[in-house]
Amino acid sequence: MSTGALDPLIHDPERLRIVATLAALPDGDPLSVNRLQDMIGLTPGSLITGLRELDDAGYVRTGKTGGRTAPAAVALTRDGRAALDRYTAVLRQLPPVARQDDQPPAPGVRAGDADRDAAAAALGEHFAQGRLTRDELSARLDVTLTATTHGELSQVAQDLPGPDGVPGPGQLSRGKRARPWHKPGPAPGQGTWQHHRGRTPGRSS
Amino acid sequence: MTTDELDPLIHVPTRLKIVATLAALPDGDTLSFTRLQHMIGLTPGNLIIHLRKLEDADYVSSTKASNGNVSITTVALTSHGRKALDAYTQALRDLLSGL
Repeated sequence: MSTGALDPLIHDPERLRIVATLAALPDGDPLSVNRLQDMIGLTPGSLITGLRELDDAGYVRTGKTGGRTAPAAVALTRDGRAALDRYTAVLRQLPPVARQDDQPPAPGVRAGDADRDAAAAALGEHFAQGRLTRDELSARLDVTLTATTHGELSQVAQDLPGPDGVPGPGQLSRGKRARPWHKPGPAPGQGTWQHHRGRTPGRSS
Repeated sequence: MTTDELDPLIHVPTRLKIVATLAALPDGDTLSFTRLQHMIGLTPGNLIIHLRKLEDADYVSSTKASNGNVSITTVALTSHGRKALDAYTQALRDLLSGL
């Protein structure tokens, strides 16, 4: 797995339910285990098992442990809360979204006037620096100014380097495959999770 | 609190990644098997197993198109799969409400 993995200790549905329920309490507030059981609807057996596993990891602190007696109260620890925060952060990153700012538009994406102007300006710079003859410049400008897609624009500058830190359109896509599914629009890091989240406002409480 | 089950088919981290990745495509778009494999970082065998489970539940559809001697398999989320993911994220959101 590339980016952070989902903490398996929290990802288990029963433990996830326990941790989420405890996390809704004010920091450090203990909850009676009976009450927790009512809220979650787990069998006492799976609740105790889940609590023990979380306790072993230091994610929760149970009131009365040791021996066979069931704990009376339980609270989320600071570690537990941090682990849950990391867990939800990983969830929000799903799926791995390409960052808008370092991805060139896909070749098939339509180009606008601003794109054509930028490409033409880059060609002018190449001419000024002696990389293109006047005839080549004029031929390429014709193509550039009538280009309809980003693919056509990058084609024109394919054999040209980026002049003085201003990369030509061809530079941007070199070595990186454009991602066809990546539509311009959503901000970087806007994954499915957040997308779904935004679709139903007023759900959180 | 009702026990809204987290769909176990989607809950497995690897399959969650697969489904979420496919869900990011515009409706009706497909992704090639190889591309999906690279995005998720799985071995082909591993990915096939998970895809088959998702296909059996009709969450995902795959199409094999061959053109001459090159054949390419493309994968897409079905509308059923999208609904299941919606229900899953809703359940998860309910669980984590306020966080």
